[in-house]
Amino acid sequence: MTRRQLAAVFLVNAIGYLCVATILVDRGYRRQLAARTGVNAYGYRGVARVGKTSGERRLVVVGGSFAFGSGLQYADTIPALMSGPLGRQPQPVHVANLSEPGAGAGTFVRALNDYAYLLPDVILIVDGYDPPSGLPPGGGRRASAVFRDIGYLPALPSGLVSPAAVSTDVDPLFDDSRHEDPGGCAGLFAERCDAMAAAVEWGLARKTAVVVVTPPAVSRRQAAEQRALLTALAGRFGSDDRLHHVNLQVPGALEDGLSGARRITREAAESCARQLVAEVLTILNGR
Amino acid sequence: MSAAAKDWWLRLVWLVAVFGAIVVLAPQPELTDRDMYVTFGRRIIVPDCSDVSCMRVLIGWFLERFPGTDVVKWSTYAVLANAAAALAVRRLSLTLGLTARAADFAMWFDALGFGPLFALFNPYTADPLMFALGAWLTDLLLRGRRGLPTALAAIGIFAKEFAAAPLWIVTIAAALRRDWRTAPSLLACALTVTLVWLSAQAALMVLFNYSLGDNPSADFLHGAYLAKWMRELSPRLALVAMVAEFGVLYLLFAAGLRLASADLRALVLASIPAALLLAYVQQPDRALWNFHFLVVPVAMLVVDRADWLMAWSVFVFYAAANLRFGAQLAAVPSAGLPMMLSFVLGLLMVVRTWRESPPRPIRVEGSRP
Repeated sequence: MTRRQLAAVFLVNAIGYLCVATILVDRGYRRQLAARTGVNAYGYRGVARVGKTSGERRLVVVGGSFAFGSGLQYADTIPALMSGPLGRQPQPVHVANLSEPGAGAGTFVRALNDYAYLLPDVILIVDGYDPPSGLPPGGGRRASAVFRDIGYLPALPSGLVSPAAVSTDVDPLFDDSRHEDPGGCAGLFAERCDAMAAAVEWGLARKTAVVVVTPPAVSRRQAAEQRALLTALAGRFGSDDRLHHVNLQVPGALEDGLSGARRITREAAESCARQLVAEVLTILNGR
Repeated sequence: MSAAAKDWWLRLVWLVAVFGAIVVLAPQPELTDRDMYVTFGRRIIVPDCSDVSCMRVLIGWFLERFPGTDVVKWSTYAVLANAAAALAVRRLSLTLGLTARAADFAMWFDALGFGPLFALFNPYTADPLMFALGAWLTDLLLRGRRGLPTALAAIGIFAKEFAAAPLWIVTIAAALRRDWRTAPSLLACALTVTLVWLSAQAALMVLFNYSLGDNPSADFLHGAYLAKWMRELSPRLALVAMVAEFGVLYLLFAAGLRLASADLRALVLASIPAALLLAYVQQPDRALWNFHFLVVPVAMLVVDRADWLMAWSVFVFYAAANLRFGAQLAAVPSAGLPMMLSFVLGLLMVVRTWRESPPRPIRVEGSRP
């Protein structure tokens, strides 16, 4: 081996070791972040999984700030509260919360495509408060080229904003002080309804049970939107018995957080989680 | 066919015949890693795998290419790899400057040592391949080869990480000898193989969520596997397991170091970090046999000085003890007595050697200009 060849080998090694060291440091930092925020190395909340063992059942949750649990400790979020009882089933159900803070319904299909490898048995689509065109702060996980290419979300630099710093951005169309007639899914809510229908269609096309979840309404206009959405979905997919609906209208469910943003109370979150667990188990055990 | 090739084939046939007989007579182990290795072999990549063995897919994958039941395939692999290991130790002994007689003894002491015989009893392990690679790679490196041992080690790490160890041992030994002509190229080989292993680990972690799981080996700050091993075994059992691993070879090895060349001593010294590391992260009584390719040749420096009867007597008692301890042959009497006799005869051998004036140290051929 000549000196030049030897130098080339050492150079390649140096670059290689630097790359490996970066990955290992990133993994270590990601573990710390995951302990704090629940967001794992693949950019979703829950125990990281990229495969599915035989007999394992999987629930994925898509949504925005409400489903993500903005302003809450990870353990207090609805999907996290569901993961306990579902994980203790004789045939455990793994919960993957794909929601991102600020993500509108327009991002749901993209999220489902990004995580199609999770092979969900049930999809919970949460029609939250974010505007349908809403995007997570900084672009969320899709801002990372590494995530877009290989599905791994590097922690260095942190792509996801800490949930405690995110305020719930309520769709201005839900403001009751507005005077114009929203006109249901054919009117002002068309974008939201179309995006929700596309997400539902994604799941049904893959023979997966889909549960549309309507959270506690923040206004009369949102309640009207939820009714319009359900009517539209029933009209389009009504004959498909894999489509389900859970209405989470818990009185006094929302409170103002320290940041001024509205968030669900711990008691309401527990109540919602119980309701959703019951529905998911009915679907899975009835199949 | 040349006479040397004929001899080689004859030795191989003998070794395969002996190992084959042992496999047939050995009982079936109750606990094995069979399912794990077979699964890895069938699927190559197992998403979310959380075990230190997740990347040890090579042997399982290779054996899956052949027809037959798992027990037949894995036992055949153990027989052939153990035979290759014994032949490689013989060749390495010659490279290290031992006589042909000592090299033949090295082959048989190695073949009927604890490690290979335990692998014949429980073949669902990468150990036999590592036994062969340890000796083979060291021999190739000492003969000045670089490309082939690097390529073999880079493939071997997918059976077990130990495949990288010989490259580091020979590199450190070269540095200890201040052989700055060969040390850089050896270092390049060792670094490259280690990088291949680390890169594969990192890629599998990132792409397929591989992790070390809660395996005690990964708990480096709390005693790793050594702590678990010490907790589970009583001090007496731990001592018995450690003594049984090399048996009389401990004694002969210690005495042989006095007769070994500076080059051979450097190799032994260079293997200490790897041996300590391996004994810390693995079951120590099994991990240390990986260094057989240095222990056995050094021990044979003493055996070579003994007369025919004494040398073969030690071997017979040593092998008898290992057939019980390692291969777990029920037909063989308890290992205690043969082991004790091998120690007594070994001690006599050492005393005789000690009384003689030590010969001039043997030099490793081709390792230095």
